[in-house]
Amino acid sequence: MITPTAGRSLRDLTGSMLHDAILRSDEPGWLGQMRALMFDRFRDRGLPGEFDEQWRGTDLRSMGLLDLPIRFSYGDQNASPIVLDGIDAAGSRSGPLPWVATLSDSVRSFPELVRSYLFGAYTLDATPSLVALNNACLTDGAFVHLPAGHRSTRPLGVSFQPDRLSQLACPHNVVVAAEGSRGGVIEEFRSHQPADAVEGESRIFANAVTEVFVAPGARLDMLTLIDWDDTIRSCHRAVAHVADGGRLRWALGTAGGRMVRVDMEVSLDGPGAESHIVGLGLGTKGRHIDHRTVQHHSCAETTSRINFGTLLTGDSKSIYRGMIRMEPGAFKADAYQKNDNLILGEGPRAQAIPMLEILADDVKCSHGSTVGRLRDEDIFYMTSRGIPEIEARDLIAEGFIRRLLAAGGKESELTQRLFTMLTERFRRDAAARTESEELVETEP
Amino acid sequence: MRDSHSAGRNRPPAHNARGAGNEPLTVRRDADLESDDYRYGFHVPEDYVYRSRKGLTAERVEEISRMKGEPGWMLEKRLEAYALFKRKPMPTWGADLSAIDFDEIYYFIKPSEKQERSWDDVPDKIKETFERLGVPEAERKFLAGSGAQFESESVYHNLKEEWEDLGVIFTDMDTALREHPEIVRRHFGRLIPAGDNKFAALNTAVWSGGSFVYVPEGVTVDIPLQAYFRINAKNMGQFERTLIVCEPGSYVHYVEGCTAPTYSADSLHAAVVEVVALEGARVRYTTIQNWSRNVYNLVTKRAAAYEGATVEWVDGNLGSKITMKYPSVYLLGQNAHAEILSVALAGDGQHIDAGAKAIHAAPGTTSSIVSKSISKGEGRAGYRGLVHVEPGAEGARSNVRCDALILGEKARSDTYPYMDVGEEQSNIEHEATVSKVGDEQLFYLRSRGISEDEAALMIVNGFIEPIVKELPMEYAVELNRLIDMEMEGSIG
Repeated sequence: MITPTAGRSLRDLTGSMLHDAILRSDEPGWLGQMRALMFDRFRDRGLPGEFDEQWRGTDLRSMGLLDLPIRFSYGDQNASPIVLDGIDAAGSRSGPLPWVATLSDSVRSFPELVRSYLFGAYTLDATPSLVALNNACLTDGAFVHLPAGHRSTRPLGVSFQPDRLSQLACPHNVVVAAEGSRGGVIEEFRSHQPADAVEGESRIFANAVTEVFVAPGARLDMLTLIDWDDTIRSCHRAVAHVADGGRLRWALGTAGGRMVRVDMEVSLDGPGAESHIVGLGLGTKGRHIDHRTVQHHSCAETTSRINFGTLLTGDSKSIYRGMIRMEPGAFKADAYQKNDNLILGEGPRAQAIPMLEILADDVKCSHGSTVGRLRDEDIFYMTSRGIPEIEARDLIAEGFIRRLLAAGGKESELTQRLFTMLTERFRRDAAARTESEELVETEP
Repeated sequence: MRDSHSAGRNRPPAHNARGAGNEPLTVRRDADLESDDYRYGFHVPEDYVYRSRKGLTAERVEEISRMKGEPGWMLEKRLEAYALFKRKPMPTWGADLSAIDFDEIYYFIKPSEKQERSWDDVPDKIKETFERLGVPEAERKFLAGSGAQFESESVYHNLKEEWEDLGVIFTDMDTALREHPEIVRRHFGRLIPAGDNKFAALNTAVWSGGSFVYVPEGVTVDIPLQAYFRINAKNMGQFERTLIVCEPGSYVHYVEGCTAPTYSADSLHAAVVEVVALEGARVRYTTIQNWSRNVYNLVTKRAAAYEGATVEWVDGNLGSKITMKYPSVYLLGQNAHAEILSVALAGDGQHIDAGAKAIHAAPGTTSSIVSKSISKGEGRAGYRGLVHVEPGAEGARSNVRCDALILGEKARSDTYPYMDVGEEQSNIEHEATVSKVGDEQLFYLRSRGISEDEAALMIVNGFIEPIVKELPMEYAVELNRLIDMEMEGSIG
């Protein structure tokens, strides 16, 4: 395990310091080598800048990332921020049970298995710089493996809470659904506001990566739930590769945070692969939320759907970038993307950029995007039945969330959980509404 | 020969034909009054040989201004713009502009020095196109840059008198600067300042030619004004600058361009078009461009619509090697309306990155954008647009519809729509679809005895019909014939 290098910031961290820390640890050589390569890559590319089209509107360089103290707590059980829920696989190292454990434990127990998946979401040359940073400095994570043919009835859970001492946190999760398996996985990112938090101050930056691999014929239900307190800033890159005949359903919910950026990329790598994503970004108070989704088709007869929405109040700002890209081999592929942004109140600002890059001719591809507010008739319908206006708005907002999550198909335990988190958070934040907003609401 | 109404065809003049090598071009002088110099409206203070030189310097900018006899304030604007042009970076998005070599471009050539091409040098494909489109003999030479300018003089004179009676001014920018400096000065560079982007800066520094239209209050101009009908008909300049000003309650339809392929030796066209529609005015600006396949067509077109005004851009992009053009409307007054219709056809070796921008900066404003793009062979056609709603633009509504048709396995289609909404009391919608010619649609037609090629052509024509029906009839007919030709061999 890598001993903590307390007090160092990213700016001060050099390749040789990292190299020394790796040498002192008990991690296998291949992992150390990969870390070093990734570190060089991050150094080469640097943080995304203002001319980077994928980062327009979110100024990462102004957030002081490079000066945050970084502390590796990889493999330190006591300090691990990962909490596991589900079947405890310790003691069942072989056999048909699914494996869920911390990354460090998994590397110790099944190094070859982990090695075949870890960092596999991107080729080295295509690794984005923040992902390279995470790969170099990863502060542990979880490895979940559903064995071939396995059918789970209960979803497995992984939960991450930032360690307040490690201000640049780099959790890294890997989820593998082997051939023909079926199961569900929940990954949560939560935090509680420290009692001594100063308004507007932000001490923690979480740079997370999740890699998901769906093998041929497997079916995976994923839920990524981000529920930060008001002070955290985070970037999350969630990448999935779906092989032939595989099916991925992924629900995403983001709430809280001062700045939250999520990149969710699904790559349909084999014929017949399918994916369906539903997601909601909750922008309340003065948050800045930035979501980017990618549906990448490179094979025949692949299908992808995204229904992504944002619900905005307060002075929040939301950006949504959605890309559907079809390579020349995507014969008879079918992709659809829907983005709805609901603005409540006068303060929020929404940007939506749904993009298409189509290089194949025999495809079906469409998208739709709307930005609007609640219809007056809907509010009137409720107020005329004795429901106060504020309550009416909340109910309709909840309806918006429910309808969005239902677009992914039948309600499941995962979507139910997401719905509960989002509606509770919405109501909690709404209760902290300012006086001026309440004055506005009393208008007919 | 045509009758006067079908003289509503825009035939750009011979354009920048020049010698094969870099031999210096000499001034042609005719003995009679109708000399080229007079026709192009140039005031030549002395007789001298102007050597065409490549590349741009501040001295050349001064030369241009001096040769045109411009007032000092215009020279100042040109020089400021030149300084900006040197500082501004190339765009980091859009088409690949890396092959543009600014030092290899001729920025200004006196039209009287233009050498003519011989008809034998005109590429066969262009000759064939003229044949297929039914272009009359005299016009063909003109279009191919190998003949003297084609002018339908009598028609022009009659129409001109009508306009003058109404107080409408329609002339070229150089003349407008001389004869109506106060109007020009009030509006020039306000909508598109030199610092807007690198190519607007370039244009502001070296602009020459372009149209000037002024419509007085309450006047409706019935027949479309064609760029062709300007007094000296210098239409398709490399760095054209066009300014249209419509006083309150007026209406005009301005048409530029030409469906038939237009040869240009210049590889870089960076035009700027500014349109001002004051309260209650309505302006429609129709463009069809079919530049030869060596041209980089980088255009900044912007309109301001004040209270109750309407601006319509109808934009057809057929030619050029690379086009980057996003006609925009700034809706600055209450209830102003924008309508932007764009059609693009990109074939082998072409990248057309076109689109539209609507900026809602007042309450009750509405915009509608319809984009139809077709990519075939190895072409790449794309839509790139922006709908921006400022806080305070209550009741703003916008609808964007982009459809793309991909013909062939190697073609590419992109869509990059940006929506930026800062006002909750607004409704913004966007839809896009990408598809190929549907198998069922083809089958339906073929099972009724129509050949596959004809069926595909019918479907493609149906695809772009919402835009074609907005064109003046001659253009619509020509466009259909052109698509017919382009489509040959596209399916299969």
